[in-house]
Amino acid sequence: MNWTPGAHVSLETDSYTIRNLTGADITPGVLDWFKDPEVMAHVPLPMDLDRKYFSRYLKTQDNTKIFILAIVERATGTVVGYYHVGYIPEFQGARTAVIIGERAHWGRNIVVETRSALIDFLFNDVNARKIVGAVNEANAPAVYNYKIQGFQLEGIRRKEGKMRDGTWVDLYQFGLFKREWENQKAEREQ
Amino acid sequence: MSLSIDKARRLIAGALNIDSAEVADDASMFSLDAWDSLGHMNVVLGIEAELGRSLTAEEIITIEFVQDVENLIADGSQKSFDH
Repeated sequence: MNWTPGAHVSLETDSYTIRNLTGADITPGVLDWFKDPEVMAHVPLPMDLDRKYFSRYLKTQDNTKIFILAIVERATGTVVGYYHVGYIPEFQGARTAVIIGERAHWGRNIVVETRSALIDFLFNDVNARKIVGAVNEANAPAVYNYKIQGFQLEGIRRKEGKMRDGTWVDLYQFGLFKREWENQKAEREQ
Repeated sequence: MSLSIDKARRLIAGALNIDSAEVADDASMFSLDAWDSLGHMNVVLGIEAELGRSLTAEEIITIEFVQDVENLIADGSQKSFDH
């Protein structure tokens, strides 16, 4: 992909397009995600976010250090979730987080499929050397998604996460180096 | 074939909604296509139902292979005899 810092992002997988989230994507249906206790169970954001929040949030996106990328179902054009990626060029380190708001897409390997494309983009186009992410200790599906993609558990951030009921929980820190990703892909292709 | 590993295979098969014959003794989240993120949650829930208690985060993070499920079930059963 011929991408330069600051340029629009558009990635394709079999079932999804990953491209910059825009204001036009913030439909009432998307805002409903943030009212759903199950969707928001492990999301460290306030419930009931509104268009004003997203208007401010989307202005932070510069496609150099901050990427906010919609996950769009190719068959329908529906936005089903989005990634937040923070990149620090000085350290070539990227941090990713994802929310899949459309429950109908849970259990379809959506994160594995779309994050694989995102990982390739970050390593090959953005020039990251390492990608990290953190997950709430109780979020078993998210732990699975990191492990199945070869992320290594690097540490436990003690009682740094908070459940909706106010309970403090550990955050598990996962990391993936470029060479680990490349080795994994090479093994799969054998 | 030990009883506990057979139990672990059946638990995983049930959680993933597949035939237990598809779950080899050395199967894992990396080898079974049906073992996806929701399947993983169901495996956790299955173990918790078997043990009659919630798993700790430290236990959940270890679950990758049939052997790991067997260990949790065996340890949990053993704990019930240790009173």
